[in-house]
Amino acid sequence: MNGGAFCAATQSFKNAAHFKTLVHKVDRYPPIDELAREIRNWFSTIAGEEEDQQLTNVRVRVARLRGTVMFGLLPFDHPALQLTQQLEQISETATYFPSLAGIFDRLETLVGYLIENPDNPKGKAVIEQLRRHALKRSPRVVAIVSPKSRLAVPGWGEELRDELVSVWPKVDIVASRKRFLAGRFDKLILPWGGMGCPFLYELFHAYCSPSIDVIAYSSERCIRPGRRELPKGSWHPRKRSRTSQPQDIEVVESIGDPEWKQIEFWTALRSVTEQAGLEQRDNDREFYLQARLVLLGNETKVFLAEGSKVIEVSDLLEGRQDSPEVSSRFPRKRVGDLRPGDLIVLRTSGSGEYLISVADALMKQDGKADLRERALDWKVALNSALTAHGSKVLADMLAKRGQVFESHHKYIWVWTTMDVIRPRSENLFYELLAILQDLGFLESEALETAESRWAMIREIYRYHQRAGAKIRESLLKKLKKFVKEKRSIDDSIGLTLPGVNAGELSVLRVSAVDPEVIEVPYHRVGIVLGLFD
Amino acid sequence: MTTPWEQALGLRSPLFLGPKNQLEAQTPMPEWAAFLIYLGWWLSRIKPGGGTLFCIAVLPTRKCAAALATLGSLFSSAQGALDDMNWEEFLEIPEGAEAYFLLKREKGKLKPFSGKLTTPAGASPRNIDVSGEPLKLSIFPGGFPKYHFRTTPYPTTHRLGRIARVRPVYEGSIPDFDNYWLVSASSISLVVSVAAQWLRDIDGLNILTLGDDGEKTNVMTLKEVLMVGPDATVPGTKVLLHSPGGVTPAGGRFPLAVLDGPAAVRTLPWINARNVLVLIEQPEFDDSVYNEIVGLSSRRDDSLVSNVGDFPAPVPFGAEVSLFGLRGGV
Repeated sequence: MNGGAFCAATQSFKNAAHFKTLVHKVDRYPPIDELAREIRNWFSTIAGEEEDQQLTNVRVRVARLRGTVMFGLLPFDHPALQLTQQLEQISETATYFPSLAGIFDRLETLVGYLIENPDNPKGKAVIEQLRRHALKRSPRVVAIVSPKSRLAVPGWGEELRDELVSVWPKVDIVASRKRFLAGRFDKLILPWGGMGCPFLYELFHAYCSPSIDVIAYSSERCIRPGRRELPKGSWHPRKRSRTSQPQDIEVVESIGDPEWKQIEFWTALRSVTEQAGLEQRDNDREFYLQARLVLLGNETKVFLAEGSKVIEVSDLLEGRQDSPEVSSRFPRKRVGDLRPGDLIVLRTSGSGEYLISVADALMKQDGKADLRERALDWKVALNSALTAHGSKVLADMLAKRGQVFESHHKYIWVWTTMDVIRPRSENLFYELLAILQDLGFLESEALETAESRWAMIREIYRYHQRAGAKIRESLLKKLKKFVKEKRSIDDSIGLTLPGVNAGELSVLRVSAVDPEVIEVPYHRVGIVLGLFD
Repeated sequence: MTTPWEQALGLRSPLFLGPKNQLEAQTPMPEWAAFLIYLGWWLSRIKPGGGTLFCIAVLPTRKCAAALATLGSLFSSAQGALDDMNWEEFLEIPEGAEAYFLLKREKGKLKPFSGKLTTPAGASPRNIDVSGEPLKLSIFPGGFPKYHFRTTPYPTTHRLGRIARVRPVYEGSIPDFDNYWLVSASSISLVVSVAAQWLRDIDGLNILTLGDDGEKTNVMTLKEVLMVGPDATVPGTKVLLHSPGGVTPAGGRFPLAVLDGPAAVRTLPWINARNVLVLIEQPEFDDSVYNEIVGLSSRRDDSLVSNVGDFPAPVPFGAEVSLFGLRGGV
């Protein structure tokens, strides 16, 4: 580090002493103002509709269109903005609502006008700021805050980066709080009013830059979060008086969207999943897990089991952690601790658990391709028994055989998964097999083979350990390569691991995490899905 | 040109801080760094009778801040810890605690001893069972000075070992520096922080001290100068560094505990210190930290801070400080 942290701290205090907020209002541009007004009209029109999946689609797609236009910096006809496709998608869903079908034409006209007149005034203003900066003596890194905080905003990928870098090479597009706080910047550009930015407070009060340039349309509301005061003490040291308090923008107490809006947003997204299995929730014939909905940067989502941990590599890939430190174990984060901007590793092709697939490949190499099937055929039988009789009946049967179940009876469902490969004790396992045999879900000689099944399960454990080591080694090799090549990850990047033949893993950017936990059918947990699947 | 903060420390010569390759230029220490050294120094000197001073500093960044405050605390300790305590301070020591003193032995030579106090705090005389000797002492105000009671153990060894390396820095900084301070077995400050990050932040940060003639005397890493360790029983440990998860109710009472960050704030119930300094970054100053501080400040006792004096200068831009006294500790 060579004292780098001390120099960075010195810079932060220097920034604090001179911090300035500069607001650059982009001249009134009627098509943008009109579009903003029209989208408000859409939201007020759908406010009276009953919430269902189609309405959620409309809401999200219209919000995305607004974000693309209002926050976008590329010319409006740039293919990366996908304005035409977005209009088509809105049109598809709007047909379900007669009230929207009537106003779609106007939206189409406004967007059509922007595509035909592609000059983007906000983009020009940002480029101008960069040009001026490049003319300064010894200019350094400029950070531009990306608006991709909740849903993916098209037009903020490599195309924009290339455009900006062509003006000034040291541009850093910052999409996460962590990345922002880890950097020190010569100039910071916030190309919208700040609404919805999950690290708005940090932009104004972490002093990672000597100033902040807010570039916004005149119709955009600019907000600056007020600084939290310390509680009154018994004694007050003298404070230095500041002569130039930034007065140029409105100071508000709250940041981000109002709470009701956030609640509405998450409720709508959760409902998509809940509708699938709501009727069955009360019985014990289906297996649900407590899980949290995590939205990912590439317009996908995943339910992750609450309490579980996922590999999170943002520190590693964005240079805040050295790769030797992770040689023994990858950094992991609890699902509840995930934050927007984190980079998590998930399986995105192939089915089931990645570790299992790799372990199976190793078994195949050793000529034991059928080991899992032979050792764990009782899981299929257990699944059938649970579906037929429910977990309560099986728990009672186990209790009658002296295996009193301390956890909730629904926990038996976990034994049907690869998360828990077997019951905790050999005796319990034998009794379970006996019950499955009695109920007719296992062959009559199941008990005779129980001992060899147990031995095979232990062998599978060893394969899982070998698979874990192999994945770790290959993943680290791949990630080190990324670090070496200084590849930046915008939304996601696929990883085909060298020497591991088990589908694809991806590093995915977290864009939002549901503040609440819901019950999700087991088969949907850990699977990367489209936003509306 | 040194800052008022540095001047107030009463060091022999200016200190220079920075990466090794930048120290040759002898650029004055940045104001924020001098302020934090002063804050640790100042808090270590204040003895609020029967209470605890609780100080919270909200900063633009915590990087290196706890290390600098701890350095100030060590300076304060090196300047004054070996002073004999006065009768009032002696009365404050709780019953059962260890006291350190000198007794005349063979040929009239003074020899260090320790012993347990067997009478309650505030009682006079105070009785002591001398450790390792069949001896009980009754200490009266009149005879008290001849025992040279101290807050820290008298050194039992003169073998400085690895500690000797840091001696020039303290000699170059502290007027009339007493080498015994380096080997006294007590820990001076407790730092609660994410240890790996804390050490990474100060990695490569050096201190340069000057001799009387203005010549460079020594360059040493801050980590070495702080004598950081996880175990107070290891000789030469002056700063106990614990990660928040590793904090347990401590046996000793530290003159200063520095709680670095929100996770460290959550360890407050386990902290036994005369004074507490909490360091928080602006973005970390959220509802949970705020509520914790408000909860404490609601039972503040202003009389404990009536004579703390004033800072030599206004606090640097970006930093905010609040301080209150708590009777009976946190």
